[in-house]
Amino acid sequence: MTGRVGRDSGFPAGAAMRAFGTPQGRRRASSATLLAAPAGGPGLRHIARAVNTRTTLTLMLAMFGAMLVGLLWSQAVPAYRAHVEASEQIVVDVVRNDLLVALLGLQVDRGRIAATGSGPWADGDSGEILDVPIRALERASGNLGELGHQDWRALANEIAGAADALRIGAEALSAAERSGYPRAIAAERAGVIDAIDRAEERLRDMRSILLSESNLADPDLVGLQLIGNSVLEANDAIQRNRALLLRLLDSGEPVRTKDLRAAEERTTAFRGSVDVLQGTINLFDGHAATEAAILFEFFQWTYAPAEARLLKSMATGTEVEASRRIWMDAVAEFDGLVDDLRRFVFERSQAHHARKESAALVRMDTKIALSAAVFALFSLSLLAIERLILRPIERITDRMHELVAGDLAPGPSERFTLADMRSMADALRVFRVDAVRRNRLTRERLSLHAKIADAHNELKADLRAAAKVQLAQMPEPGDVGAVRFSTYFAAANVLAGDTFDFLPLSGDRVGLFQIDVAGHGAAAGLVSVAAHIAARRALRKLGPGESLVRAVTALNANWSPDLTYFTMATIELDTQANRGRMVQAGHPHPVLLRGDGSISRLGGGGLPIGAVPDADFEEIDFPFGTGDRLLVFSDGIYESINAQGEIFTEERFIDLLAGNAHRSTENLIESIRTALETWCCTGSLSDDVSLVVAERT
Amino acid sequence: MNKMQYTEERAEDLLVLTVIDTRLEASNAQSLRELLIGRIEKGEQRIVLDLQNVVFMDSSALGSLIGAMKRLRPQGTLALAGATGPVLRLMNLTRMDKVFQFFPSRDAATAALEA
Repeated sequence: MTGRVGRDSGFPAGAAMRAFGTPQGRRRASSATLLAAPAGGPGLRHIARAVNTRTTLTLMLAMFGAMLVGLLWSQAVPAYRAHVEASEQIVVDVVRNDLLVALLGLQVDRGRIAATGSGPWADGDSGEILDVPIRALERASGNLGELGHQDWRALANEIAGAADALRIGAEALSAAERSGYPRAIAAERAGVIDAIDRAEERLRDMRSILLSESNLADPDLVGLQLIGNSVLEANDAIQRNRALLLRLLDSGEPVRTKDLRAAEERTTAFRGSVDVLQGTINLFDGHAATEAAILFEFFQWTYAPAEARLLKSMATGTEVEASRRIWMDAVAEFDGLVDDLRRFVFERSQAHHARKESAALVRMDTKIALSAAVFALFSLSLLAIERLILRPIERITDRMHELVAGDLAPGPSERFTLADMRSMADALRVFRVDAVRRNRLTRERLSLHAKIADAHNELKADLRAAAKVQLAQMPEPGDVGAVRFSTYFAAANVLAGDTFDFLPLSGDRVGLFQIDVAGHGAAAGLVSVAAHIAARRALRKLGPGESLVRAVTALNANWSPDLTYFTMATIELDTQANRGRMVQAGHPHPVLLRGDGSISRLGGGGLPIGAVPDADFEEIDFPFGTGDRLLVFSDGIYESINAQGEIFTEERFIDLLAGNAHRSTENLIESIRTALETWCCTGSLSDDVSLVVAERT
Repeated sequence: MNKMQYTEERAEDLLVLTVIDTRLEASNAQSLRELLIGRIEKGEQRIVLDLQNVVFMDSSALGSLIGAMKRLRPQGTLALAGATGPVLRLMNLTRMDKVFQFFPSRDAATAALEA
């Protein structure tokens, strides 16, 4: 069975089976064999040996999974970064606001120091000198440092350094003022103002740096930055004029036109740029422009006229006090408006950054959720491929190899989810059942064959035993009384249909018969044995002078009609009388070779024994003296057929006898044998051949 | 066992079977026996077997003829026509003229038996 499966499926079952040890080994060996069969070169086969469905799928899915992870990562990481940056921008915006506070404070304090030293403004503004900017810088440095980024930390340190320099300057100025030395005080004032100038310049740069770190492409932020810068410009102009004018007013020194012109130019310069500034801001942020307009309007229409009136009063020396009050009020209001605008800018940018952060957060959350979902789906697909395809295929493959290896035990019944896996498993079950049935049929057939072979051998043994019995019935050649018998016998089958016997009878008589049972084989052989016994008994009972015809007639009458008929020649040779007599029952005419060389056929024929129950027979009488030879034979001797299908023929046989009549009996028989063997070159006889030569000695 | 070839004709109540095989021997004797016994069992009692084509007959075929003859009723006839050469010699040797009716030809047989 396995051999056949092997041949049909195109791979050598024997080799595959030898390789199958463990199930793993089996799987490996099988996939190698299955794939190697159609593969062309040894290289392909080598690769094929290592690759099966699982490794192929695992490789492909691993690559797909890696690409998927990469894709999702490339989506999620920028979203996360965007969110982190948006969060940082809120802090950076706070820092920028503090820097703006510090800058505005520095401008105010520079004017104050220029006007009064570390004392309060003459118009009542008090508090520690530089306290507001230093605290703002400290807040900015702290916030920026917390962001953790290296660039931010460097900036934070620089801001902290600026704060420290300002503090040292303020303390030195206080110490000088406490000492009361006017020159020392003047030197420290100049030093602090110088520090403030440096700090202001640097802090303006920092605001730009921080802005460039945030998204400059954002038009709202550009608008707010412009407002911040405008505020700084306006405040710078006003605070410088404030310091200058207060110093002039309070010093009591004569007013110089040059100083007044410087103050006027500063104000005029800013007024000139207001329209441009406002227009530009409006381009980016209409709402912020509206807010900024309040300050710009105030500067143009309230402060600038108030300052102009004061400058005029100072130049003319008239209504100086009234003008000073109006101007001081305008300055105070301006400070308030600057503070309002700064808050507005700060709140607006904070709101802006908060919106951006929130949007970034939503984007990040969406992408992370989407990535998780895609990955979960991918994992589910992996699980489904493993459970629904790979594992069933491996089970089915294992089962197939078990079948190929001849393991026909029913495996565990498994229900696969996919219909095609189910039908594969079902087909395999059918194969198994078929194989079991085929095995059973083969076993039964083999057992039947064995029984038939046994029976055949038994029959052959029986036939050989029967043949021995039959041969034992036939006498050895030799002398019986004065008659020498020579024989030639060749059976076509194990059992012969021909038989003969010769025996001494009472007196000087010798009995002889030859029988040829119709047909061949075992049936004819058994009938031949029975006929031999009947004929021998009849001859033995034959007394001297008793009718040979009567003996044969009785034999014929008693022959069972159920048995095959046979031909027989029954002969009595009387050596005293030198005569013989014969009853011929369908047997070929015997040949009498006389001592003088003459040759003659004997008898006129007769019915075979068993053909007709009431048959009549004839007895003939013939001379049989010394030197005479009687040849009795069955028709097989002249009916043998050669390779061309020709029959030897009776005529040829008689001619053969005539041609060799002069030879001794031994030589005569030898020439007959040679002639027959030459004729019948096939080596197998179609009929038994028997010849008995009785020679009177 | 070979199947013997033959033709079959009917002349009134005579059934004429003509053997086409040239040899009647062990290989086709059984077929001859079955043919004859089959016809006899169908009720045929007057049969002419035309042997003009047969050049050789052995004891097995003769046994088939004798077997068929034994199945016939006493008044039945199995006539052999056209036997020549070795066949006729066998018939003479075994004195079958005492068992069967012999005719030199088929026509002679039908003429004699229909009369």
